[in-house]
Amino acid sequence: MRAKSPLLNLAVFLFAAPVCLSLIQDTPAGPGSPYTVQNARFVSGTIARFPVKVIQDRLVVTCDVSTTARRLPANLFIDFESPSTLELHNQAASGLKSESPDGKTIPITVHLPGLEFQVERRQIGDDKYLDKFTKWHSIELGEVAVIGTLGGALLADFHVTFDLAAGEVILEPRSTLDIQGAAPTFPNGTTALDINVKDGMVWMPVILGEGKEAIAGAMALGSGRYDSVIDADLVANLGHPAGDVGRVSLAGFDLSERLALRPSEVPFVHPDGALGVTGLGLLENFRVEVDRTNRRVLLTPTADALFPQEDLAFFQSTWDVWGRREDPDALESYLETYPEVRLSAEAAVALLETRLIQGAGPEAVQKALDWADATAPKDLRATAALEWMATCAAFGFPEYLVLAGELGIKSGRDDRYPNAVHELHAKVGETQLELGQGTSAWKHLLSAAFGIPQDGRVNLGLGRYYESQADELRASGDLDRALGRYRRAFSRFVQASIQADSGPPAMEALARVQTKMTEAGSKDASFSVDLVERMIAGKVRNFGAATKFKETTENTTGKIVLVEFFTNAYYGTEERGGAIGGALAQEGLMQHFNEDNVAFLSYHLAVPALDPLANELAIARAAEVGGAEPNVQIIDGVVAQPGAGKWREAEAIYDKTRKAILKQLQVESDFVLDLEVKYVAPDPNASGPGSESGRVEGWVSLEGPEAANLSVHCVLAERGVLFPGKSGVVVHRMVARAELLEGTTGDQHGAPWNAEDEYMEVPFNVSLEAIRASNEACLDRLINEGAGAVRKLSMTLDPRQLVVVAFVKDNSTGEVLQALVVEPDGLVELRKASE
Amino acid sequence: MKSKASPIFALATATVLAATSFGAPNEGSTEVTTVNLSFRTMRTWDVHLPAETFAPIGNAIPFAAAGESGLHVAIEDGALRIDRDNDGEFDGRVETPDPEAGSQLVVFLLNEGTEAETSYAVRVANDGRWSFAPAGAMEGQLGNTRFQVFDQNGNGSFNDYGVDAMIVGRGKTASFLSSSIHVDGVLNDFSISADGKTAMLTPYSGSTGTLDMGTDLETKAKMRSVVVNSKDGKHSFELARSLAGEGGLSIPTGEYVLHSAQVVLGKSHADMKTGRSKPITIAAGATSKVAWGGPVNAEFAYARKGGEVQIGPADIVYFGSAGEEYSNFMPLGSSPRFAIKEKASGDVLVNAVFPGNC
Repeated sequence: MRAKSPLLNLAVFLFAAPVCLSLIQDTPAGPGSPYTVQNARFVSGTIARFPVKVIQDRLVVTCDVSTTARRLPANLFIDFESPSTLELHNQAASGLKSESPDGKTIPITVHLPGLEFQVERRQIGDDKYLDKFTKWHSIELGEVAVIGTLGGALLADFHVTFDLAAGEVILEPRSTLDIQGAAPTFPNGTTALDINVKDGMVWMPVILGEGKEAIAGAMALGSGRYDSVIDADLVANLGHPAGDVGRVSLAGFDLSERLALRPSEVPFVHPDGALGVTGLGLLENFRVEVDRTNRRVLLTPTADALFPQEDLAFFQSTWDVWGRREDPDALESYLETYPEVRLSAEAAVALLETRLIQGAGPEAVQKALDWADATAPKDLRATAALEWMATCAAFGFPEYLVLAGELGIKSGRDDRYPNAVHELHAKVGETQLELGQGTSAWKHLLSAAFGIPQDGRVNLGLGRYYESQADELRASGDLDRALGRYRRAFSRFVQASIQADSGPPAMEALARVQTKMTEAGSKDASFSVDLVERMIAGKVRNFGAATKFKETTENTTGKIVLVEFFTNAYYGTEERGGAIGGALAQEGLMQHFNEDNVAFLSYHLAVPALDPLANELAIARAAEVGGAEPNVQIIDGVVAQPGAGKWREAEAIYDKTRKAILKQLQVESDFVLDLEVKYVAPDPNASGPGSESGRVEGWVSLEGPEAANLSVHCVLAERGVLFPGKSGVVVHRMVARAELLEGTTGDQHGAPWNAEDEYMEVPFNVSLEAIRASNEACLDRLINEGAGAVRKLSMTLDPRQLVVVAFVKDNSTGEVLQALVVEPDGLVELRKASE
Repeated sequence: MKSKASPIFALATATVLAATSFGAPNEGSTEVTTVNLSFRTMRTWDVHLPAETFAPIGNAIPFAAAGESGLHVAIEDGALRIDRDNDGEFDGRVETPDPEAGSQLVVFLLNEGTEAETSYAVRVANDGRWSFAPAGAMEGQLGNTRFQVFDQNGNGSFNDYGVDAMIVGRGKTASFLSSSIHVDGVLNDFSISADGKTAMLTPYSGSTGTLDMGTDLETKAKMRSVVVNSKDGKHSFELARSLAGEGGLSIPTGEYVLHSAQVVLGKSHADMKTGRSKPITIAAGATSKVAWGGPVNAEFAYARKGGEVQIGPADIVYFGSAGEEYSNFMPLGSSPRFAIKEKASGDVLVNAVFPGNC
């Protein structure tokens, strides 16, 4: 079990009574276990025959899976040797709403052709493998995803017949015990074999070899893979590391005439010796009927014995006495002999990886890539090339990545997935840019941009290419053309800045190109959040309030409500939801309410990943409100509202929060806050550290009853900060940057209410450079404490975005009693000057 | 339930292997045998190291054969630059791997075409910072026994006894680097040079006793690895393959601790560590049997928060009969069931299990 999961919260209402807490470890599917098959019923008659297919060495059945919430069409693997009942992909479990984070479950029903059953809980599936399998075999799967596995714990409840020759698996009720004294009879051609059942698996007696050298043991009946496997250690000790141990006798049949056994670890124990596990190859040769009640299987040959020499040749090429053999020449020779057999693709992968490990030259790698290409399905060669590229990249060979990509591009038109070729162009272009092959890179990137115009990496690559061209033109004195290229680069970087994978480097590039443009004599508008926001309008999610709050004497009391949004740029994603839901709702609320009625602040926390907008103030404020997570809005310090969700949930979050704010606007306040603040631009004649940045100075005052235990806070915020994390939020609003009173109080907790004649005034004078340095020091501290790495972007405050939010808080209750928003004097002129 | 010794495996183990490159030293001899080792890269990393850790990457990956400066690498935005042939120029680039994809194999080839040619390989990962772990071993063979030595602590040297790791014989499960190993059934003193290229073996002349971990092991599953270490850090043995044999394994006398193990049954597995298990004394000429494995008891902590009880998967600790501790149960999704009962009546108030992804 992993610790990353949420805590299990058990609501206990009867804690007044003494209770004891105990843990019960159920057997995986034993009585009372949530994994036990429940309510199994045959839909018609007492037999279920369901069609199955062998797809890429797996046995697959098509069915439906449902809960009371939803029903999904599905494909499931059938693994007879697996101890599980039903393994399901996390996404499928989520779609079925089969479980909640606190451990509650809704039973899942599996609707097989002719049979339905329920399990209370699923077991976890191998999501990555399932995803890849679905992508690779979508046509054979009828465009229905493989979402999990039916395990042996289900099949153990039935009399099971594998009849792959007829393309079906048959489930019937378990048979009754044989009548004592009456010998059972079987059809002609069928052989009965006594078995034993251990750990839920069906073990069949097998004899390896003949005469005095013969070794008796047991093999488990399986359906989870094609190859029947044999203990690699055993066969190596016998001097046959490739598994060719001679006669393999099962119920009088010699399996060595029909199957090549794959050497493998056999992670089971059996008192007679666990020799191996059979696979689909056996089931393609025999109809196998499993009668657990009478502890026997019935074997009926369904195919003529035909030894798969090509399988043995593969095992000989890949195994030696010490285990896996890494011999590229043997693999290449195998592929030349068997270019189009079941294991050719596996051999080609091994060949490519082995060549890369051994540092082979371009010719040998190209040959390996050609084999990889030739052994992939014709309509998946471009898709497959993405994998070869990943392999070459993983081994640190970018030049071979280009070879793989260019090979895949040739098959791009025929590929099942039309985007594959664009992905190939993008990756090749990006890599060539790194390798200094500019023109070729540009061609690939441009091709990619036709298919995937929003792709961040493509736009970033094109931006870099145009920037390098502009640099050359500028160096040669051709400023007009250089500016044209810089504008192109700028435009591409803007597109890249809104994507999670390219956002941070694109932002750095935007600032860099802006400087170069200014140096080259550009009179274009200077780089700012507002400019970027205009350029990306319509390309990022946004949310507009349908109405505007109209202030009346009935719906307000003169108190300004404070809404504090705790978030993180890496909380969730745009697709899956997370910070995006809260941020969009905030956008709507800011449009709906005036700053005369509602003040907004957002705090970026350091979890789940370090975010450059996190600072000491945010951490301290989250602690003050009781340990806020990056998914909550707190109104007036005490009323919590959701601050995260899917983007489509933004409206619901907005509505709920709006109502809560309206209620809070009715609260009266005895306090009056006042703020005087101005932005002081840097002195052009000054020199020394920090002299290039401006400062904010002024005072905050509070008037009200003296007795209370209060503190006054004065937060410098920015209206918009550009930072594309992973959450889908690109422009962050009302970002709290610093507690302006820290210089007076020495901490983040505001100034204590020390009134004289019911009045207090606290001055402040803070340099923006000092705030940047302090926030950067906070990031360094967090990094040193193991919070992770972060690119220190958007650390410098843009004076044009500054705003000050003051609020007064009751320290005994945490309630915010009054707030105020003021924009520093001097910003209007500053904005005008930079337009 | 006991895992009984299998006659098949006993027979198989006794079968003489083919291909002998050197003769194994005879018992009682004092002759020193020198074995040359070379680096072997493992394409598929299925080795089970007893204390695998990913060491942080700075501007080099230590490798004694590459000299003091190690193998040059450079961290840049979104990638790790590598100098594959260590000639001072970066000629490889590994993109930051997806943390979910795990590690990636990076290979180096030094002094190509010369007598000093050697390869080297590490697995690199990035979970916010770059780190590396071994992807291969220095490999040599004496008699019918192959041994592989892993730079487990990533300091570039292969002679950190009790810290680095080694596999003796066939298999994929390693012990710590030991100063005594069994070569063709005979206990030998073992030493290896820092660059891992030379090993020296002499028949062990000290006192020995027998450690029997198999007879009194209660398990339904297969032990994939079992590592015991001497308390002085000099000796370490991986015993999984000897559990089925009769009578245990002859090892140098001293105090040993059960360091770690992995238990496996099909797709399911769990890890074991020392936990509360007591040291095992191996006395000269005597046999020490260890009763361990089942029955396993679970202990867990919980927290009360208002009207809720909180339990995290990491709060449960499972102990075997020798006090050894079990954890990392895989696959996920098979949760224990928790019951809150009224103390007086025993009535169950709440039943709960962890979510399916735990």
